[in-house]
Parts: sequence; structure tokens; C-alpha cells
Amino acid sequence: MKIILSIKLKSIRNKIVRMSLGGEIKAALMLITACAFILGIYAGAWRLLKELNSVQLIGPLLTNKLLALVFLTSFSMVIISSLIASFNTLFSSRDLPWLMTKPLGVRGIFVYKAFETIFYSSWMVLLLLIPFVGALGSVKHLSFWFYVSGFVLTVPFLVISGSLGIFLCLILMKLLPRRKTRDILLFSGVMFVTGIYILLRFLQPERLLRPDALELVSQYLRYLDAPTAPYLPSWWLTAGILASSAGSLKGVALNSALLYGCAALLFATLILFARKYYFEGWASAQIFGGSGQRRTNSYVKRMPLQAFFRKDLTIFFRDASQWSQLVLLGALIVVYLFSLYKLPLETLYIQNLVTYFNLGLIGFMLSAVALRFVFPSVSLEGESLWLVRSFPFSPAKFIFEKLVYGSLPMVIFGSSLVIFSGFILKADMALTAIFALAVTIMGLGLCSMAVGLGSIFPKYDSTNVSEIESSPGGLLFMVSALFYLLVNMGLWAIPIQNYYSARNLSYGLPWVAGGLLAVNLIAVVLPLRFGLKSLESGQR
Amino acid sequence: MIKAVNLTRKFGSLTAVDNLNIEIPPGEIFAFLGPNGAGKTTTVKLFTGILQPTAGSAVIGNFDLRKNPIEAKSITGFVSDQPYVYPHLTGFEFMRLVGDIYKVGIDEQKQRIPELLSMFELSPWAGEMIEAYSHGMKQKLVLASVLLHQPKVIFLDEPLVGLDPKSAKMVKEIITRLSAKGVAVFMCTHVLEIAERLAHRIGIIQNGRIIALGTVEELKKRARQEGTLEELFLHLTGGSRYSELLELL
Repeated sequence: MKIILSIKLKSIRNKIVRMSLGGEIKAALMLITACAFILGIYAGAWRLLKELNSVQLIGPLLTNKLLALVFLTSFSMVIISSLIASFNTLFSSRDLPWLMTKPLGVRGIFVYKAFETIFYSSWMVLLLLIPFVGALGSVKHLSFWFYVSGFVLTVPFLVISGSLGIFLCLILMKLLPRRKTRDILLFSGVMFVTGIYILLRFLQPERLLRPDALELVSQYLRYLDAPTAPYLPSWWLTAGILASSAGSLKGVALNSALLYGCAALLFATLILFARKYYFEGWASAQIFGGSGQRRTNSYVKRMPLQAFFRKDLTIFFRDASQWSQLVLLGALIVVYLFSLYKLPLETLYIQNLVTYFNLGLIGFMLSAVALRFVFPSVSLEGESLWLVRSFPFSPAKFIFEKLVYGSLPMVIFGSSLVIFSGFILKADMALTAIFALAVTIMGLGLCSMAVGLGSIFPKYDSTNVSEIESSPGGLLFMVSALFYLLVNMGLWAIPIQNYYSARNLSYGLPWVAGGLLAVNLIAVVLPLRFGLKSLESGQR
Repeated sequence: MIKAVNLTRKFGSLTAVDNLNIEIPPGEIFAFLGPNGAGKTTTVKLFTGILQPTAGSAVIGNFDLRKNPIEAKSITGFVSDQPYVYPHLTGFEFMRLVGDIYKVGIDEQKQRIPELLSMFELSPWAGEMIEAYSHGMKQKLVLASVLLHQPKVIFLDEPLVGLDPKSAKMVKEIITRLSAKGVAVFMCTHVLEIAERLAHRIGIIQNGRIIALGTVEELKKRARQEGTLEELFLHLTGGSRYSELLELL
């Protein structure tokens, strides 16, 4: 374990020590971006918590409830993320065949890989939780002790959630060692989670957050005061943090003991389980038997670009970890449209406001889609990149193909959402058409940014989409995308406000059109140009 | 057919290929030898357009790879030492992809793809995904795909690694046949016996520089060394010094 860990640490140290000037600039840029991201989350959380906390009588209860919901969501997110990541880190990681032949002991290898999995699946959540808990401490004017105890409580919480994901993965590998079956199961798992998510949404839990929706005030207060899933570690973390904010050392100690005890017990059980089944599972994952599925041979005439596009599409639909995400995306859309439908659009002002913010939310969804499906597309060429580079196929064509591959579904997805939501919101037809155009432009801009930044910051050594999207390049994309959306929304606000106030879109239109043109040209041209340069420089 | 003029490639302070000048005519089998890390694979990558040179030029046919990369690549075939190909495509789909990218006509593809797959004994596996293939099968698939568009120049980086004896023999015969048909073959190998038997000329590279170039006989004469190519290679690259170290084992 010590030896394997030292390999990882030395690799990281060598990467840092031997960084070129370009690499240093990239790293500095990413660090700045990450800091800006954390600060942004902090500012947003601070504002929200301040508002909630200032609500008379029930303010603190609302804050506690929000905290519990955030931790519960984080808990499930880390479990699912760890389940998906562990298929890769524990069973398909490239260094495993080498490590397994060394006299290191399977247990040591497993523990190292388990920690790696927990790290990969929880660092993003941790990055979101730190500013959130920080904002809570700031709003409630808590001492340094609160932050220390917050960190101490969060570590075992992440270990528990990550370990549960690994546990599920080990069980799946034990029951269904063959890849195809596992793909089907992964898909079923995603379907199951999606189903539950949709069901919960249709139960309209927001009614509980609106006092007028409940018959008695006491019912509402009881709901707020009740623990959220009290037997889950997310509640122990919530209770521990609440105890810490109240200065109760006893509460912190009790919940810490629960969390650390559970983490230790779970991890020990995991090691025992792995001792029996890990090697067996890993060994069977190395066998690729025939799928038994005969595919038909077709000789349809195709242009080189078409052939390449077809290749990307085929690979996408054969990789279960990729297309299963589509199901989640479908659920997200259904829930989103349902939420719009349930919104109380009592006044014209609220209707206008929702219609306008709908544009931003659709843009945000497009950014998430671009991060998941478009940003990794260059990295996923991976070890086959030598082939692409030796093809009579220019890097510009390669980038263009990736752009078409990403932007077509993005534009269709975005504009359909606008049209559907416009119909639900009973928005003006002219405005819906303009929004569809705006989303089309945004889709192209976001796609160009994803392809461009995906080429500048590729991760060719990874086949794990979650690892690629959570790389520093992915983070940079997400931050740039949010900034791009913010600027776009700001520019669209002017004509839309005029349209609602005076039914006149033309006021200030040349400025807005000029601004939109400039922003979108920068978003399309700059990343693609630098991405192309990065591919052409051929450093690999 | 293959030409390098002052071809240089640096990686930071390391010069992987240093001022390389060679010319290989059509029909010649050229064996490129050298110790590990000498610059063989980097040279091949420069000739196949996978890497760009820091200085100098690489020319395939009449096309400079920097100025006309597409034209140069269209007449080139390349088999890498690590045949990583798209694991989620089937062997047949991979052949079709290569055929379409090299603009091989549909009728020709219809005829040649089954022929090539059968020649490399891959027909029963053509409908399976490449992830199910062994290393040797992937190597054979890449070799088959390289022959599909009938290139004028072929680069082979350790072409026999992972192949069974029957396939290895067939590849050697293919190389000889291609050469007879006027195809220039540039082959990196550590198997000196193959270089000695197949190659018309041999180049030995060390620390990015060509230290010997010519036929086996010419090299032996120049080095005033009798014996096998292996002995000559060890003499030129300083490998014979290890014999003293071996005593320590």
C-alpha cells in the first residue's frame, strides 16, 4: 500500500517539478478558475443562507432543513459516482495488470484503489460542500472550531458514501462478471434511480416548504424540525454540524463517533469482502468473450467525415456508461418541464420573469450536457489517436467532426426544450421563436467551447468519462460556460424587458446584436482555434 | 519515395532525432535499428505525420509532410508497435472506417475487405468487437487495414510483436511481395535476424543520430567487423560492454 501510494505521489511530484512554462500557465489558470468557482458558490450560498436565516421564527429551522437536504443529496451523489468510478478504477485501470504481477498483495492494491475511487467520486462534492459550510459558518458568525469540526465530520461521511458505492460495484462484479451483463445492469440501475427521482418529484415536496399548502402550522413546524433520514450518515453529519454551530461538544463527539465508527466498520467489511471476491472479479473482468451478437456487414458509400461521424455514434451507443446518462438527462427534462407546469404564474410579472430565467436554466442544462458528452469526445480518442493522426484527415476536419457530433443533438435538445417550455408557460410565440434562436446560438457556442477546451486539456490516458469531465480542464469549461451564459443572459435581458414593457424589441437592438455577435464569436472562434493549435502541435 | 532532410525533433532539452538525412527509393526494404530510446519510433512518427518536426523536413512521395500532409498520408500505411484501435468497433467496421477515410471505392472495399480478413484469419472474428481481440489479432487487423488502400510507402514499427509463427512468416512474405511491387518499406525492429534476411539496407540510430547506414556487407566492411548483424550492432552501439556486467549475475 505504502509502495503503491509512493508511485502515485512521485508521479504527481514529477508532473509538477517537470512542468513546462505552458503547463505552468495552464495550472495557474485552472487554479484561478477553481478559486473563482469556490468563491462564486460561497457567495451564492451565503446570500441564500442569510435570506433563510433572517426569516422570522422558522429561519434557523429552514437553514437546518436545507443543510440536511444538501448532505442527503451529496450522500446519494457520492454513492452513485463511486459505483460508476469503481468499475474503472478497481477493475479496468491500466496499471492493475502490472500491479497484480508484483508481490504487493491484493489487499494492499485494493485499499489503494478504493481510496483512489473515494477521492475521484467525492472531490467535486467536497469542493461544493466547503464553500457551503463556510458560508453557513460566516452567516451564523461561528468560530474557527466550527470549520475544524465540519472538516473532521465530513471526511468519514465521504468515506462511508464512497465505500457503499464500491460495495455495490463488488457485488455486481461477483454476480455478473461479464461486461455485457454489467452494462445492462448499470443501465437498469440508472433507470431505477431515475424512476425514483421522477416519482419523488411528482410527489411535489415543495408543497411542504410552503406553509399555506399544509392544513396546520404545527404540521409544518414538525416537518421542519424532524430529522431528514435519521438513520443515514448524512443526518449524522447534519446533526454534528448543527451541534458544532450550537457549541455542543457532546453532540459533535457523538456524531463523530457514529460517523468514524460506521466508516471504519464499513471499510473493514469492505476489505474482508474484497479479500474473498476482488481478485476473482478483476480476473474475470479481463476476459472478453465473444458477445455472441453478430453484426451485419454493410457497404454503404460514405465520405471520410461521414465515416468518422458514424464511428463516434456507434461507439457512443455501445458504451453503456455513456448512453445510460441519456436516461438521466431524459428524467431531468421531464422533471424540469413538470416543475415549470406546477409553477404558480399568477401575475404577468412572474410569468415574464420565469420565461426569461427559463432561457438561462436551459443554457445551464446545455452546459452540463456539453460537459458530459462533448468535452470528453477528444480525450476518448485516447490510445487510438495515433491512428487518427496517421489518417489523411486534417486536424481541422477532426475538430469540425467533433463539433458537428456535439452541436447537432445540443441544438435539437435546446430548441425543443424552449418550444415545450414556451408552450407550458404560455409564452408569446414571437418570443419563443427568438428564444429558440438564442438557445441555438448558445448551443453552438457551448459546443465550440467544449470541443476547444477538450482539445486543449485532453486526458488521453483515461477512458472514464467521469474522470475526464472532473479534470481541471472540465472545471475550466464549466466555469467559462457559466460566465458565457451570464453575459448572454445579460445581453438578452435588454430587448426582452423592452418587449414586455412596450412590446418593442427594436430598442437598443443594434447594441445587443453587436454584443451577442462579439461574445459568440469569441466563444466559438477562440477555443476552437487554440484547440486546433494544440492538436496540430502534436506533442504526444 | 521516403526522404528526410535535416530532420530534427526535440522534446524540451532532449533531442530525440538529430539532423537525420536519409533517402529510401521505391521497392526498398529499409530496416531501422537502434537501442531502446534511440529515436526509432519518433522518426516513424515524424514520417507518418503523428509528430511535427522541430526542424528539417520529411517527404513521402513528392509531398512534404508539413506542406501537404493529407496527400503524403494518403499514400502511406502505418502499423504502430502498440496497435490500439477503437475497442467498441467490430473488426469489419474498423476496416470500413479505414476504407472510407482513405477513399477506397465501395466495389474495391467489397472485394478486398473479406479477402484481407480471410488472409489474416480474422473472418470468424470480423463481427466481434475489437475489445475481444488478443494483441496479435489487433496487430493483424491493423496490418490488414494498412493493405486496404494499397499504399506506396509502409512504416512498420515492430510488426512481428505478438504474432504467432504462422502469421509472422506471412507478414515477412507480405513485406517481400510489397517491395517487389515497388512499395517502399520502412521497418523498425529489434529482431536482427529479420533485418538481416529481408532488408536491402540498414540504418542504425543512437541518441537520435544515424551512426551507420548501408547494406549489411557495407556496414561490416566499414566497421571492420566479421560475424552476424547482432555482433555488428552490439559493436556499433556499445552493447558488447555489457558482457563484463553479466559476469556479476
